[in-house]
Amino acid sequence: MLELDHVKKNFGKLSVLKDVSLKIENGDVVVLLGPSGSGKTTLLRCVNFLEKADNGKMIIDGDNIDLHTANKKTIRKVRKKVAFVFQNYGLFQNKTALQNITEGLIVARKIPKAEAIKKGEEVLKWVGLSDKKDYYPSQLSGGQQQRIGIARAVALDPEIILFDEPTSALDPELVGDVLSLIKRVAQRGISMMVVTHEMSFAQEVANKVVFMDGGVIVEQGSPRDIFYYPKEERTKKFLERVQHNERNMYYI
Amino acid sequence: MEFDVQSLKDCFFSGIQYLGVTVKISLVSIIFGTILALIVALVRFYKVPVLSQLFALFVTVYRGIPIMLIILIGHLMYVMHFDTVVKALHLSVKIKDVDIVLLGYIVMTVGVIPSISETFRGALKSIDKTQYEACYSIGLTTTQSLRRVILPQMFPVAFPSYINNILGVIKGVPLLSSVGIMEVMQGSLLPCSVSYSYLEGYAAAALIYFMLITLILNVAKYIEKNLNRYRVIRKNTK
Ligand SMILES: Nc1ncnc2c1ncn2[C@@H]1O[C@H](COP(=O)(O)OP(=O)(O)OP(=O)(O)O)[C@@H](O)[C@H]1O
Ligand SMILES: [Mg+2]
Repeated sequence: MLELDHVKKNFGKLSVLKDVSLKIENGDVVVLLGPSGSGKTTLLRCVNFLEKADNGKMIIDGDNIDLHTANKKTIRKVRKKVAFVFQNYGLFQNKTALQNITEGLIVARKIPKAEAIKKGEEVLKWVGLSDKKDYYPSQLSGGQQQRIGIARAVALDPEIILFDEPTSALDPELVGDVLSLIKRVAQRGISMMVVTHEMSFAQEVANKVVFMDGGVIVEQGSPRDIFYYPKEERTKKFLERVQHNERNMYYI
Repeated sequence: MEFDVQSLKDCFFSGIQYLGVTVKISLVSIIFGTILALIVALVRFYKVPVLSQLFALFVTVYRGIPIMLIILIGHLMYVMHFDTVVKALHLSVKIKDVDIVLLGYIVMTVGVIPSISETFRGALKSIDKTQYEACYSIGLTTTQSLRRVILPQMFPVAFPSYINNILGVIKGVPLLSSVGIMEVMQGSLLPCSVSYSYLEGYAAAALIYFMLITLILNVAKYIEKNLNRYRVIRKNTK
């Protein structure tokens, strides 16, 4: 279980997160929606300490952690429980597909090398890229790279995986593959928080949808609540706009 | 003026005896200079308070002064403060017992830091921010990220300019003759004081330098090819 309490973050004068609180139960798939600049990425980054929040607490796995004052050791401890999947994959360019997956296991978790490789090969197989294990990222397509990125996160056995627009850098024909892989991650019972603009994915996979705007959570609930019975005006407007855009896509 | 092949030969063999000195000064200053430059680059890149401002000032000032002046100033300070430093260290050496080459090591090492550290810093900056973040996200410490991901990516990027920096050092060594260090160029000119065959002397020095630098460039080319192992041209994998 992960709980965020009163998370605040400013960039200079710009208040990007204004008191965000959120609860994620084990196995939850939370989809984070919101217009550009609403603070979705920043929220994910604060959870993983890629950004230091100005204020806020996090309870993870029973540990109560201050997002502003946590020291390096605590941060590393949190990162062992929280994996991150990047929009532009973020694979280590100097490491092969397999090494990308084993790196964290060997160096951060101190798992014996042979065991880590075994685990890495297992996960590679699971994402269907066994034959690419010795390829460098520059030799892989975007979709393959993102699947390795997901494999890297899954191999770490995290409590939760944070996805920041995992498919938005991909060619349209590769999006489906990656989304169905993320669905399989959910089926493994790993909790996830996913920022995405793929509404059909959200409807199908999420059990909780959170709508953010202007640095606050405007509304949250089941996909049914949010997509079919939104209460807030801002949510309705946003959904109308994206659904309108999605419909228009077919005519382009 | 006649060009005398025999004089060229004499000068060449005289100069080549000092190749060792030139190589030694270059090697020492490149090795220590590289290590120190890496530290300077990292301190500035991670914006370590106080130190990074100090290093930035050092680099700026140093880059604005001709290396010749630095050598001469270095020499003056060396002569003036040698005894003080020796006394402070409780040693009992006299300046005349110490090979002046020591000054060469020091001046060239310090002299190479600004350029190499700028090369490294530029290369660090060129690495995508996500590479750092991905390291942190899987739980690596800053040191582990540097050692395992960032530096291995930085060196190939830095390599071509780094080789230029190195060549700069090697070609700068003849300037040390101004403080009485005998190296390849002065060595090549030794026979000239008798025969006045200065043209041959300079030609011999140029020849030796040319050979040395060709060798380095070839080794560099070989290394570069291997460094770029993972930056393969993307194959079509669809
Ligand atoms: N490092 C930073 N420095 C300054 N401002 C930043 C920084 N990162 C984000 N911001 C600002 O914070 C606001 C929220 O950014 P964030 O990336 O969290 O939005 P988002 O909801 O993820 O948007 P998008 O859907 O476009 O990705 C934006 O106005 C952005 O310009
Ligand atoms: Mg974003």
